[in-house]
Amino acid sequence: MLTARDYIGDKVAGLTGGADDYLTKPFEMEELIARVEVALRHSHPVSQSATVYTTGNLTVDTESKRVSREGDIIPLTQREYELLVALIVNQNEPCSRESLLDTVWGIDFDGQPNILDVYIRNLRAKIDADTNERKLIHTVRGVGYMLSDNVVSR
Amino acid sequence: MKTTLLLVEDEEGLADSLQTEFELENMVVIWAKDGIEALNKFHENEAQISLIILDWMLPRLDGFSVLRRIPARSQSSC
Repeated sequence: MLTARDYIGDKVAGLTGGADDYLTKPFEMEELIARVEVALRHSHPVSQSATVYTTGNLTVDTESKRVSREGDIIPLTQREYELLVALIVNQNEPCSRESLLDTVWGIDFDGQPNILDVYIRNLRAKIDADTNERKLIHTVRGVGYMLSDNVVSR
Repeated sequence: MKTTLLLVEDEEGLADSLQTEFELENMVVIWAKDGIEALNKFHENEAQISLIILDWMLPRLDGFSVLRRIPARSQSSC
């Protein structure tokens, strides 16, 4: 995303809207090329990634981008979806805050790290809202977050 | 296989120099000069496009509106 002015509202809107990165005009060509190379390293070909992941009654279909719990489709924003995929690919393993920020927001993300907590809160409101269902998103103190169906809540 | 970029930039001079630079980096550049053209070229070439460079201020449809109309497709791991 290239913004013509250094205006924080544009950057936030772009990043939450799905952009991986932004650069304010005017910029140095070398910087744009370096950022493009980083973004390409973060991307994966579509063909190798189409898989259905399940944790308990939560299903994430990475081909159709459909997320459902007990058959009910849950609409997510692009970032929420990417965060959930990062968690479910590594389910039952704690994901560090740094790795989640790197994976979902990019290695050169220089915004507020608590954006992760904001998105986790949003994901919980959508995925773990039903109090009758077992909670799937867990905070791992000192590390980050984990998606698991095997944690008994106290 | 070469990496294909969709470059969405309405300033022709800037688009030209960016295209030259990326071609020197061995990339293929598809250029769109406004938001509507960007969406059309994205849908025509979706399978090849690895990355989009999107200007924010664009004629016809701005960068944010383009972004919202492009589906999420990246997958990531911890």
